[in-house]
Amino acid sequence: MASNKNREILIKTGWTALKVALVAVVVIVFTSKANNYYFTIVNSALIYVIAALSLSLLLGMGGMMSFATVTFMGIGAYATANLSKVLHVPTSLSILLAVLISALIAFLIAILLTRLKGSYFAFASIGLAQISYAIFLNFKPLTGGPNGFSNVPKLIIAGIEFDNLKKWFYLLLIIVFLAALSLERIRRTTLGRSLAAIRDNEIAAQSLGIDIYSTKIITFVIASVYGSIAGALIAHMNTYLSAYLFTFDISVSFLIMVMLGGVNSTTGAILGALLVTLIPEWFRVLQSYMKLIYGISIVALMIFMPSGLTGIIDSIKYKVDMEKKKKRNKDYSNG
Amino acid sequence: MTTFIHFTIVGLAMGMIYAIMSLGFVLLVRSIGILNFAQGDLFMLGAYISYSLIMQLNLSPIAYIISAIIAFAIIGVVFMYVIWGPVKKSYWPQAPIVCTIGASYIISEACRLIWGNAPLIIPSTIKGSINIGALTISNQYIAILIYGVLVISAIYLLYEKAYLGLILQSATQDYMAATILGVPVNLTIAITYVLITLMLGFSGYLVAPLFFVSQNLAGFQVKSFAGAIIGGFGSLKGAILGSIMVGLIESYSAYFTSVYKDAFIFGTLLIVLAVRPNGLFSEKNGK
Repeated sequence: MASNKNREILIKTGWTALKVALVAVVVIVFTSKANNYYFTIVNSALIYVIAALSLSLLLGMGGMMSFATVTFMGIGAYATANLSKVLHVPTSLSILLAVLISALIAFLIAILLTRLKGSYFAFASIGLAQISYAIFLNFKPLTGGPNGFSNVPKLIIAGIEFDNLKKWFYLLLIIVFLAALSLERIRRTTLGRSLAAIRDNEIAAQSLGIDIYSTKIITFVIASVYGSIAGALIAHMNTYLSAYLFTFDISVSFLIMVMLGGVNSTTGAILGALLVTLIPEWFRVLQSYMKLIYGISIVALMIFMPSGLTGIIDSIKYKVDMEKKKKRNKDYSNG
Repeated sequence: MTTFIHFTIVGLAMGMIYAIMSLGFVLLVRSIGILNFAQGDLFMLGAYISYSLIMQLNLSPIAYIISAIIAFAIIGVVFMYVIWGPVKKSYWPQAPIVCTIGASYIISEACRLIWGNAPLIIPSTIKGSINIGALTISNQYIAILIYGVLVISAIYLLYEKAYLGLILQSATQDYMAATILGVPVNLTIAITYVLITLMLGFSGYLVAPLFFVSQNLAGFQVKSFAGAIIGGFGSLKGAILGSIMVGLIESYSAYFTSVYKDAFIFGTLLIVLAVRPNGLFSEKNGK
């Protein structure tokens, strides 16, 4: 028995080591070969990963279909842009303040929205995304109106100025890693577990003494924090903001990212966000058909693998395990 | 005063269009229980097909109506079998809804590839305009009002008063029981889909002379959603009244602002959701 357990641990650490090595190899190969153009794409993909994690928390863990991720991205982005450019707050501090502002706004909105169920919540969040887009596009004093907001200061953390895309790439890698780690951590806390309970059966959760309302509010605020971090990073990386970065369509693409990877899976959200941003770049020849292909693949995805990539991997793993069990039982019964 | 009357007529006409769209949305929710995010695109497709039939094939009005009915009906059935058919038994309840999002991309991109990016022009259904004092109103708005009243009352009577309406909605209440009682479930659902595409297609055609035939027509969808929610989700009366309200709000908001129209509508939506989560005109209160 003991040797069996040891072997399992060995296999597990082996897998983790393999994954880490794989990521490291990809990163090293990428950084040595890539030019600025690739860095632009991969960096924005990494930022979208953070936003997708926000939706993964709401939709996957909490079952709340939200289209308002862009709202909080926008709030985060414009807040840090205004703070650092107009009020000359140091950029690392202004990002923190922007996240705080967005969390406050999210809290106020959550008080209203989280009482709504299912489709009502989805529609209220659509309404929110539309309002915020109208404001981002038209409110000149804070957002620059249709011309956009230019000359956002460059990010400086602890004396290091992030002025080229390679530095940004490393920074984003770290932030994505931390975000994913914290999301995985949330999944294992009381909050994550009560959220999953609410998602699966609200009445049962309530009878177990879970405060549905406050759990949902906290979740919504945490999700908005992820969103606003993504937004603030976009602001400082591009040094230019326009309302077109925060449209309803972008929200829909977050939904697709999360679903492609697997709704309730952190690795799934990361994979999905990377694939949805990178695939169109690999098939640039087909550019004018890209959106059509996108639509067809959404439908195909829902028909053939509604639980996403990780869902497929899980079901294969499950099958293999079952086979193993069968074999073991057979061996056992044979003596 | 004249501007007020003008705003009222325009608002009512647009409200009628939103009401027809939100009716389509509610009908689908009632008959199979899913939200359709491709409504706006079906609406747009109606305008594009009408453009082809009228401007490219030069059909006479009667020939246009007959061929459009056939075309829209085919689209409805194809839409049902491709977008809803394969996922209706999916174990993930959001799958059919996400499928309609995919469908919305497919339809809008197909339109762009077939008809191009440039906005196309369709002549008015009834040419000319009416003058009342200093007021000039395009006849198209009158045509929309007439069409809206006819379609809305027909659908309302069919679904709320007629026996057929009950049969059409039976599948979502209890699929098994409906089948046992001999309701041809697939047929009733197909009828609902065809009704929806017909309603949407012709309203797309009627709106096209005012807004041009372009991919922007799909944007009407969100406002009709807002209308359905403001009125009361799932109730026909609520959807109709709420949508007309949205049309009027949009039109009157021109008094204050030209760029924040959408913010006005969705602000109302959020306030209504906060105060009465079930909508203003819904029958049942509470949660």
